[in-house]
Amino acid sequence: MRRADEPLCLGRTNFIIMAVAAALVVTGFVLMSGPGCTMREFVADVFSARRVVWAPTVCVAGYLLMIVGILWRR
Amino acid sequence: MNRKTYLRWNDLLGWTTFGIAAWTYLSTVEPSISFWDCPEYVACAVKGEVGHPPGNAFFLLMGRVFANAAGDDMSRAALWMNRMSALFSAGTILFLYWTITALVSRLLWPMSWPKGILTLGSGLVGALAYTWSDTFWFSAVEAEVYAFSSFMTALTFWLMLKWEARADEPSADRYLILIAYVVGLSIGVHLLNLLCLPAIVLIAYHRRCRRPNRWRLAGALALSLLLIAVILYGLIPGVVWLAQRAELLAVNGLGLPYNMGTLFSYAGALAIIILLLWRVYCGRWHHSVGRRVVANGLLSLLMLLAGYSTFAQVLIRASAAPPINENAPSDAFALGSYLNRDQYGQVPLLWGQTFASRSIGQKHGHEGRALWAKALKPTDDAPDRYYVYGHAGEPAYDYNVLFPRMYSDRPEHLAGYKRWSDYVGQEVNVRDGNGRMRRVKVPTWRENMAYFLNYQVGHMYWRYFLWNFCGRQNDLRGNGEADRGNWVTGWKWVDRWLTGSQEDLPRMIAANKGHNVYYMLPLLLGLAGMVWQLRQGQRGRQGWLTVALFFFMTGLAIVIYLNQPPNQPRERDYAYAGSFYAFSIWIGMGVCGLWPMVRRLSHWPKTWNEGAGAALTVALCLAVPLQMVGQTWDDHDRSERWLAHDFGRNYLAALDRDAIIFVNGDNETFPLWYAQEVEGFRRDVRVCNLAYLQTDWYIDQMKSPAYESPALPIPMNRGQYAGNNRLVSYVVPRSDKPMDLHRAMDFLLSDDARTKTLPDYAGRLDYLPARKLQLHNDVEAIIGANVIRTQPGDSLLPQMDIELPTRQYLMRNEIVQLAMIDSIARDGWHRPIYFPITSSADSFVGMEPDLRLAGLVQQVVPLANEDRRLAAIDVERTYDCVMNRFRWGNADKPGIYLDETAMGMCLTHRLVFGQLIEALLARGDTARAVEVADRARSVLPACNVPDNLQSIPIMRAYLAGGRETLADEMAEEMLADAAQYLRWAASLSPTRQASCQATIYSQLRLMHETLAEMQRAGRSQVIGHHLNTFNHHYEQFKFILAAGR
Repeated sequence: MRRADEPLCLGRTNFIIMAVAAALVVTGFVLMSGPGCTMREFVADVFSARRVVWAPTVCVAGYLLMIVGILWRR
Repeated sequence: MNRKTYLRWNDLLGWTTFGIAAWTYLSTVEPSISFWDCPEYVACAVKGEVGHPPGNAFFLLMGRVFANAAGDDMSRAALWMNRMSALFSAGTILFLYWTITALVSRLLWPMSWPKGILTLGSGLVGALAYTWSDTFWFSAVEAEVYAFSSFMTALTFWLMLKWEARADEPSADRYLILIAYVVGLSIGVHLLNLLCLPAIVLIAYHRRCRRPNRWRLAGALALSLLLIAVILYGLIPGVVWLAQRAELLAVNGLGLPYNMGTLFSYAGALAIIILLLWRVYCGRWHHSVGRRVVANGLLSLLMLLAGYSTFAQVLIRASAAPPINENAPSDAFALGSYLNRDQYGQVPLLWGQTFASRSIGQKHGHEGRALWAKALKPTDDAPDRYYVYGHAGEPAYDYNVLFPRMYSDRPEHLAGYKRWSDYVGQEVNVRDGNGRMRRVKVPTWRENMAYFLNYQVGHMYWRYFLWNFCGRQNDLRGNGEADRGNWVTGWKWVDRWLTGSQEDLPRMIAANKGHNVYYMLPLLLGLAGMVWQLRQGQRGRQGWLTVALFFFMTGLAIVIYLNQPPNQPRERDYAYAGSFYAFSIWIGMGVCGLWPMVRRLSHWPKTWNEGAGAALTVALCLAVPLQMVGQTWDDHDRSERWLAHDFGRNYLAALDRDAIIFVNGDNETFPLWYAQEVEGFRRDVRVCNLAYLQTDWYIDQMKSPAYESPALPIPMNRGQYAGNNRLVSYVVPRSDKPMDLHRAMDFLLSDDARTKTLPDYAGRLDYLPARKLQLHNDVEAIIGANVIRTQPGDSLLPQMDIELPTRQYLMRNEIVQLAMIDSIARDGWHRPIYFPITSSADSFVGMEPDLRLAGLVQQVVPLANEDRRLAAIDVERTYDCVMNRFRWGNADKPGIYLDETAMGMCLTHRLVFGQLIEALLARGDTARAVEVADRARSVLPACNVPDNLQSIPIMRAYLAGGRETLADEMAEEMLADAAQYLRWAASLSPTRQASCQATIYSQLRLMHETLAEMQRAGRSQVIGHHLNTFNHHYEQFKFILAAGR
């Protein structure tokens, strides 16, 4: 077999799933961001459900989906 | 057995072991937090905060997902994180089962029924032995990273076997890419996972190399070590280094906001890899290197970086500046030192100093690398900027050796180094920093290696290994004593030789739940498995080498890397769970090793001979893990144990509003953080850890408000404590007269050159011109603030004397403490200051005389009382605490498991009971003293927390209150117990007696105090014969006690 024709293990569907997974991870980290506490005031929003509950959950969903993306076979 | 049947059984039994393990762990998990790091992890996961370096981002993210199952009931969040550990541990067992059957089946293929039974049985025996082994179970029932980390390692290893089985199909490459991703993710759990990489490279080598020979094997091994080095020292810091350069360019150069450079550099690196991949996939390929190799390499790198991206969580959450924000790693520079664990210092590995070496300036003569930090802004809308706050050099030493093992010059380590190496030393000439020769006594190479082998390898590795597979004396932290934490076997004739007499063992060994003996059976089975695998031809030897490498890398290699100094504060077996995993593979193979023996012994009809023989072998071997669980269940069952949870709250319970509590150590800090952060308990209190208070980032955080707690009044600006400023200040008394604290602080914090020079010293120096300080109280202000509570007979002190410790210097945390005390005192003591009762004398910055006990904490009070007892304890508050406010974590539940840490906390509480009883008795309040004694015995009953020195006041209360029978019972029990120990100790050899000197002393003292108490109460007739026993043992051990002083 010529080296140029070697089959590659990941295909189109894999990359689409992986891209969605990456998008989820990025979304998670965006959800996690926001204003912070300062030396003058304590900001309760630092612990809002969006930043503390939803963001990590979305990130983990993304990280797990990435595994599906790698292992997916037609 | 055909392939299909085998695979079906393999799946079924794999999931069965998973079920058994999951059931074991889920029914023994702790219902809330445990001691040590667990409460910190729970708080950081649940609230998205930043724990200690090097961070565990993916663990925290995953922990939060599990904590979601607790819903709104935050008190169950810790339970769910413990359950996460339980499930990941069960997952580890699942992969262990499949790993064992994969390694065995390839050697026994093609499968006949007997061989099938043997293979499946191997998996069962090995996996269950590991399920119920000591070290792994410990981490499986608490919210620590080790369970998750084990899971990642087991998964990686299993994936590699999966790849090996079908490596000829191109689609198998996905397993390699997945491994790269798992490794990347596991950086966000624990770096331990990198250690399984060499074994993986070895599997690939055996599978791919067409003509293996010794040299190629060595090359593959070298390559595998290189791979770890590239990831550990290249990729992980490399990404951060790149980010730091980009940060400087983007922020200082282009004027962009913080972290934009980091973001662009990371995204840029990913984009370049993706572009290259695009070319490989879509372009025409005309290179000599295989297209598949390049594509897989790029994909693996991409996935590794994708996994590593979990650390964005650290940057993002540190930028949000939550109350727990250790090292505040909110930019690439702080993150770099966070990942690099700079806070813990560097340990020499191959070439470096001994404890006798002296530092002679910086290596290579230059000032070291620049340290960058965010610059303070003059106005809010000023642009972001980084500045150089200092330089980090590596110290050079005047005397260096190869493979330095005894390197720490801290006084608490020296004695240990010398004891473990039988130190004599040799004198050598060395050239010091100024080029002068000095004569110095250094350890010899032989002593260096003796310490390595005796302590680091023997005591801190093989002992743990044998705990798991031979037996364990008890759960007490051992430092070479004959009565603590040794490995034993259960065979008396062996144990006599290992630890001394086995007749009439004292309770601290015989009745200790951590006393587990396996009669060496798991060890022997494992050795049989090792031999069996080695004798299965070339493939057997290849497999053996892989497992052996895994065993070495996750065990002895860590020992070499950690280079531990002596007197570790806790047992470290958890770090080596990976190598016990590898050994369990061999335990499983022991089934195959035993088979020929069983077959020879059995004489059944030929028709069912083989199958029955195999089944019998498996059944016999299954007895080994079953015997193990019979021993280990009781000391791993943490269900219904709420101790860490309740005791953490008890520290907070007695505090006044807006209090400050200065704590030290994990178990005084993390349970309190957990109570505040997760359960929202007493958020008005400020927990201030004195070890962290040495750092500028922590002082920043203490100067910020947190929840309901206002900022701490620290009258220092950032310039006075940032970077290396006043890290150490010297105490240079200029006269014997006490100096006003406020003036002293002004002097020390001033930047005026006149306060920085000394007549006989050329350089600039931060110093305090007095050792005796005086604090002047504004009595009106104290009455006005109305925070300090008084007892009858109290009077306000117009001035308080502070005698600083006799050291030549003060650490930065002490300066901050003094400045804060000064500021608070000037405001009428408006914020009460507390220390835990367990604080070391080093923590008080000279305030000891003004401490008053209230529950588990002591308050600094500007009060005097003629009654010395009343000056030392707030009777009513302490009474209220122990009778009403405190919770006891089910310590009264008969049979609950109290390990050494939990027991220590119980005894601390008993100490408080004792002090309260003494005070009540002194005031003649016998009725309440007896009431408190009853309470002590009901919440901390002797069946769980055996009576000891701290119980003497309880006995005294009963004697005074007319409850002599009860006191007699207590005395009898304590005396009999102590006598039993001393009788046992008397049968030991002199060397062993010397090692047990501390316990011998405490038991003699217990006897003495009990006898004296009983005699004082006129109950000599009850304890008559014990007096003779005491005198006898006292005479016997006098010499040992004298020698120990």
